[in-house]
Amino acid sequence: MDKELLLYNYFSNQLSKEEGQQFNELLKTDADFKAQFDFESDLKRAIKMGENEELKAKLVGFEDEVRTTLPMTDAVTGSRKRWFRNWSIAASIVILMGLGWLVYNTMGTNYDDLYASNFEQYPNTVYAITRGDEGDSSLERRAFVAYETDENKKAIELFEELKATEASENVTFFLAQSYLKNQQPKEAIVLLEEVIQGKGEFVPQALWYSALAYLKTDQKENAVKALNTLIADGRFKKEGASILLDKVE
Amino acid sequence: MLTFFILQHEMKEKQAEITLNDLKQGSDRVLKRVYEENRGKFLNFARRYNLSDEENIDVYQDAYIIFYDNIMSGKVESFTSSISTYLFGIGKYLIFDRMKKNKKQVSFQFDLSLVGKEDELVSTFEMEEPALTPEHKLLRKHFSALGKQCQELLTLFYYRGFTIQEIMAHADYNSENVVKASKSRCLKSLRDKIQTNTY
Repeated sequence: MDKELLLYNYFSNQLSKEEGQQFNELLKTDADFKAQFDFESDLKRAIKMGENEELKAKLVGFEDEVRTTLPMTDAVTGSRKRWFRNWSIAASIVILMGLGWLVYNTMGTNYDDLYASNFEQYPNTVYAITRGDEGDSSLERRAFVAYETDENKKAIELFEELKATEASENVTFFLAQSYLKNQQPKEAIVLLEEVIQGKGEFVPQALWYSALAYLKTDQKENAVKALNTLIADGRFKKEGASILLDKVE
Repeated sequence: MLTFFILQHEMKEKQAEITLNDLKQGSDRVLKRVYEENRGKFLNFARRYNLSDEENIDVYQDAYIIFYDNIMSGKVESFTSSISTYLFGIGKYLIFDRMKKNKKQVSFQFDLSLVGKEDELVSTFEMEEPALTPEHKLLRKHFSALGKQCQELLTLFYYRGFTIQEIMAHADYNSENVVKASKSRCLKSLRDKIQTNTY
């Protein structure tokens, strides 16, 4: 039996089933073989570590390049990267940005932008969707699956149904989230106010999202009020709320 | 404006899909293209969770590295989905892991359970590395002190998963026996360096 060949086949992922058995047997019975295997395994790991460090450095370099070629807002979302590559389109965007800047400065704060740059959907922290649970077709599970997979209309429908049968703070909050994701801030506001009035666990989160929804619907005073209450509460997004409040005011 | 769109469309057409083999070859041009093409999608996906943009970029890079490692180790034999889907699957795992470590925002029942095809796709991936031992660190140090040719040969074999025949073609060796002999010589040289240093 060629021990070197066994090691070679192992490290090139080419061990046959029979060789695999021989290999395992040798690991148990042959100390030299085991030592050689350990040495090569450790080396493999050490090389991988070096390659990973090198790749990370390259990725950081790519990131720096992305940031220098994109305006900051897009450096963060980055989804339009290729558009910017095309100089002609980039030129159009520069003009649009210039116009946007003019509008921004003549019309005052753009609440829509503040909403867009601050809105991030709240993760499902309530209902555990586990693999292998596919047999569970409960309304609650279907609603949260729709929520997590961004099927917003379906999520709204299912959470509405759920709210009609077994209303709870969670359901109201995630129904509001689904409306926000579906660009329906007015519907979300009513529900978020309901959560706030309920004085439950989701109050700080509801304050934050109601502030955003008020901004989206140009209700500055209500947004300021919600942000102030949230800052005083201090449990969620305190810093983010202060920054947003500064911008709004 | 219509011309722009046609131009844009043509440019897209010309940009061929990146294959598994392209990635295995690992040229900087391909690595960069993959990074740029998937970055925006990934960050948009990651924004639904409660990490900062900076953290999300860090997670994107880590997910990229794990994806790449799993290609190198042969876990991905062919692309059964888009590259971004693989990255989402790994990213989701890493984000939940960070949120758990940061104890972020999740004051009540929070389950790391996942949903979606991206999770199935990466379910056999190696996501976490056990901590490095002093032996690994020593090996790393002495590996860096080996000649360039040895470093390349051993990296091709142990990291990139090249066979002896592939190494022969890739690095202009005359025969398989020369590759095998060189590999043994490099391993011996590494052992010698460690022993000289240790004792």
